Amino acid sequence: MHYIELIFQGIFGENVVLALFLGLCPFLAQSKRVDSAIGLSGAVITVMSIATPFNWLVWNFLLKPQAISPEMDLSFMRFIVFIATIAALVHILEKLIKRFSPPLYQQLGIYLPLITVNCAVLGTSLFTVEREHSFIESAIFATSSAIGWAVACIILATVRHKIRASNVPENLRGAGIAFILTGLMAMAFSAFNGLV
Amino acid sequence: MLQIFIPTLIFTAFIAVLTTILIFCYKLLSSQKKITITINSDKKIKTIADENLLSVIQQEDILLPSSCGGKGTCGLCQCQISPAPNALPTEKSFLQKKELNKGVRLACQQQPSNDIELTIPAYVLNAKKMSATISKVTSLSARIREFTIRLNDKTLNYQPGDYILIDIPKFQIGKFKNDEETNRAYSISSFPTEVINEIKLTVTFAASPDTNVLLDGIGTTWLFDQKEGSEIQISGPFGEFHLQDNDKEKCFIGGGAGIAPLRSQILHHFQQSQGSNKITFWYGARDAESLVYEEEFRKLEKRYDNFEYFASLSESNENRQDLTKSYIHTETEKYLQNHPAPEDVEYYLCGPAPMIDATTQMLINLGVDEESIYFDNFG
Ligand SMILES: Cc1cc2nc3c(=O)[nH]c(=O)nc-3n(C[C@H](O)[C@H](O)[C@H](O)COP(=O)(O)OP(=O)(O)OC[C@H]3O[C@@H](n4cnc5c(N)ncnc54)[C@H](O)[C@@H]3O)c2cc1C
Ligand code: FES
Repeated sequence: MHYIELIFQGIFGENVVLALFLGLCPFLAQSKRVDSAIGLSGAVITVMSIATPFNWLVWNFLLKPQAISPEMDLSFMRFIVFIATIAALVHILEKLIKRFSPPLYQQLGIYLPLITVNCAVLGTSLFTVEREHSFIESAIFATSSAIGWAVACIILATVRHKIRASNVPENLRGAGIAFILTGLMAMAFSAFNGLV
Repeated sequence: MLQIFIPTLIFTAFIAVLTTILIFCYKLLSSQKKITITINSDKKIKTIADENLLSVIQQEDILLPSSCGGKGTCGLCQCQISPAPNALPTEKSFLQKKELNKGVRLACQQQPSNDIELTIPAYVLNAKKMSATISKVTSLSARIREFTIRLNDKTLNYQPGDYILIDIPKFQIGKFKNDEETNRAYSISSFPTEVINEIKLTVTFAASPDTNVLLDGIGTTWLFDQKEGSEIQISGPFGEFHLQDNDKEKCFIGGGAGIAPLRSQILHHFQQSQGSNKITFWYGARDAESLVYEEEFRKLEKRYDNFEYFASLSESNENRQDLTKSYIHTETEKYLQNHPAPEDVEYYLCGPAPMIDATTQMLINLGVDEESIYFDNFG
């Protein structure tokens, strides 16, 4: 039951984009087309669900106060170390995608390496540490947060796909209307807040 | 002290472990897959997947032209690929829709990961590298010079409209320094029977857009420094910008140095046959001084009833009846608006990119089919 709660919280209640506003730049940039949104979502889910448990291990066995020796506290290094692991993982993933799906690689373009600095990925790593999740909890939380990001991104992409045929005021076309849509979606998602 | 030392050590060790894993993954994933590239359904090249196509082709001693060092900015390295890969935005700006659909791509932008069939234009396979001597330099205006180039031992079988590449070496002239070997394309402005074993080039100096910074063009800085008697390396002839052999009305529109291939084509046409099809030549220059070869075309106009020459100046107001101050394509547009059937005319455009774009747009708006527009984009 506790795990289901965690999943629900990750996807809806604390949706990384729409409740916490993390990872907004790739969210806005890659939601222009549904297929690239799906592609990037896949990449984000993979990176996040591997990076967070990995960072959990790094935290608990290396950085946590008293992890190595009683008087050593390396917790101040968590930002730089987490970013390094994320960067390495993204690099490997980039190579994998390039090798096995060149069209997807071409489509993701610069956004794939940019996942490295996607604050949503670092954010979830820091959250699990802050909340003292267990290893399994951190894996579940990270995967569901990533799915939450993906859901939001794909929803926005489909809405933007629809909106292409509508008469949006000249000055709001593009990023303007995307921000407004994000705001509206955030309001809708806030309804899930009280559930868990 | 230890408090600084140990974290540093741990962090360094951590990064080292990650790097090792990364290198290992790179090794494992970088494909050593072998692919076969078939050129003109004849020659087969074996190479590794994901290599840059332009360098693969050039390693085979095929003179596929390229003058931007593979940056995707010159648009010369065109070849046809089957099965057609996705076109990148860099390629879309140089190729027409019909070409993209046929699978024409820029070789420098492609890294084939599977077997492909490549069609390289026949002119590329016939092109040669050769040394030549600048035999005469004539100033046509302050910024435009005509270079006469004598071919040292080989002959150049070119068609009017073709261009050559001149190798630009590393050089330093005054404060101007170029530390990369490169090359530049120049259209041949003479026609085959005009001079024997020689070709003429008409070159505009690419001056820096801002006089306070030294950003003059590399190629033209070097070329304008060459004296009569200087030896240069060229390769060619290249090009597909050729006159169609039919009796449709032909309309030539050129700007600046874009006059070079058009001069060759027009003069050659009247040399060969005088046909009765109407030919108009619209030439746009900056000022009256830059109206190169004007006299020649005025004479031609007097001699042939079916030839007309129009010129306009974009920057200066000259008190002359036969000159207007406007962009040349607006003058052509006025003519075509009163033309009974602009869609039956063939168009040959040559000049800087903005002129080509504006003119093509104007023609398409008048209902002209892309198929009857031929152009050479000087970039
Ligand atoms: C098929 C073909 C045929 C051609 N035929 C002819 C011809 O017959 N005659 C002819 O004159 N030209 C012709 N050209 C154009 C020619 O090849 C060269 O592009 C041209 O001479 C300029 O070369 P460059 O090396 O002097 O200038 P580049 O060094 O290539 O620079 C190009 C321009 O950019 C400017 N520039 C450089 N750096 C900067 C910067 N940082 N910011 C802003 N601007 C900058 C330069 O001042 C220059 O005007 C042809 C081109 C093609 C593709
Ligand atoms: S080499 Fe210049 S565009 Fe390819």
